[in-house]
Amino acid sequence: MSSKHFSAQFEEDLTKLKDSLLLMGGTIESMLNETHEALLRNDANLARRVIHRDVEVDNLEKVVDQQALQILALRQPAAIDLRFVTSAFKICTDLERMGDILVNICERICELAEVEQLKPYEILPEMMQTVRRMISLSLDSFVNQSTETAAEVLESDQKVDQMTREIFSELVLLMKSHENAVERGLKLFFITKHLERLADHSTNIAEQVIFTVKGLDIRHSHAPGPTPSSI
Amino acid sequence: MSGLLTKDLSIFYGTKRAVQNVSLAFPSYSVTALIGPSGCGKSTFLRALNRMNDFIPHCSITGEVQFNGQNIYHPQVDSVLVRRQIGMVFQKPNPFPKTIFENVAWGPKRAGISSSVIPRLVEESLKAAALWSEVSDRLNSPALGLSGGQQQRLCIARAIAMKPSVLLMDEPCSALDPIATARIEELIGNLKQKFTIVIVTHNMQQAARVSDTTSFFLNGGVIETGETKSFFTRPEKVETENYLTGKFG
Repeated sequence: MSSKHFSAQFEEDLTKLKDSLLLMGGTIESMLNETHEALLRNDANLARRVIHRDVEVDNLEKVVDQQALQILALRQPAAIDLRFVTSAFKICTDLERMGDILVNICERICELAEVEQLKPYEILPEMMQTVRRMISLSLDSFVNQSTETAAEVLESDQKVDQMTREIFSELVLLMKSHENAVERGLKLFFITKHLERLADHSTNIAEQVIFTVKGLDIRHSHAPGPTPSSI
Repeated sequence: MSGLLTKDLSIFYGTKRAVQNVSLAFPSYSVTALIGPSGCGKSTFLRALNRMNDFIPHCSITGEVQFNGQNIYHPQVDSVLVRRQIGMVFQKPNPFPKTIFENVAWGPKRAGISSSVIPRLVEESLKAAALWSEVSDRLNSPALGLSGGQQQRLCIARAIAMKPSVLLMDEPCSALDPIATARIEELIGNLKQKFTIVIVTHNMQQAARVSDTTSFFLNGGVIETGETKSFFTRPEKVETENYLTGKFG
């Protein structure tokens, strides 16, 4: 979208939509950073603050939907503009779901704060860091409309899946060997799964960026089709 | 592909070239939309497809318009017969100041069709133009008493009465309200089962709705032709993208 529209109002409408999505993404990033801190510090108060921030994301979801709907109704966009607006709907839904998932993680952190920690976290902080990077990159790819950055996100997803499996194995072993580890283990199990879902949502965003920029639908492309390296 | 295609067609007004080297083939029994900014040559091109430009002084062409393998600009080809096979509907409805019946019957009568079959031909044409149910009880009323949308459908019926193979439409809905436009668009969808249709429109949403193939004209040339369903979501050329999205620079 390097060249400008003849209609300054249309240009402004698209910019506002993009800004709202960025604000939503920025809020998610900030909530995720606080969630990371809360987990590492076992800080239930910080986790509760994150939970309360979900309403910001929910409100922004309504703003984005309204803005995108107005553009469709009033401007009948075509080509890259149409792809951008339809992607905005989907990205907005992904971001809203990410907010809900962060709430779920923080609820588990609050519960974990009441249960004794058996051993220091090993892979979980690294996984959290990888997911943070994926979310950050997916938003960067959206801002810069960069398919290269989007492809990086897609490649990172496999790493997160691998870490998920490793943590699951470790938790199963821990719970088998320590009966009193089951309660804590289950909560960490959920947190790991939630992080893995966050990575999936950032992957969805990256896929939407590729669709917006190139018009390629690479979703569910486990079957033959464009791969991240060929984008 | 249908029997209609152009080969390196250029059209001149005096020395000014309005259309340059356009080669396009029009698929049978489907709708091809020609879109582009004002002055890009799309209407000039459309009129060349049935030699309507013959009426414009100093208008000349190079290249060919082939219909069923015959160059319609060959000196031995009768332009009247060409227009009988390739009919045209204009931007503004232009019924004759006669009755509804006579408007549709006029062409066949002039073509020497037996008067005994003309009432049936009129009925068939009005039915094909989705107008019969609205006018069957007042065929002898003046055509100019019809609404704009009805007049345009009457003009389509008039063109159909000559049993053409191809229908050319030059912005047929630009003078109509949204309801009348929707009826014409619906009609175009039905007509393509029997005719090859080429439509010029400024309304891109209309092109997206009614056509199977879209060609984008710019500065007298064709920039891109493609299947409509991907043309409006994923055009290949930057010029097309900029036109569809209303961009400059």
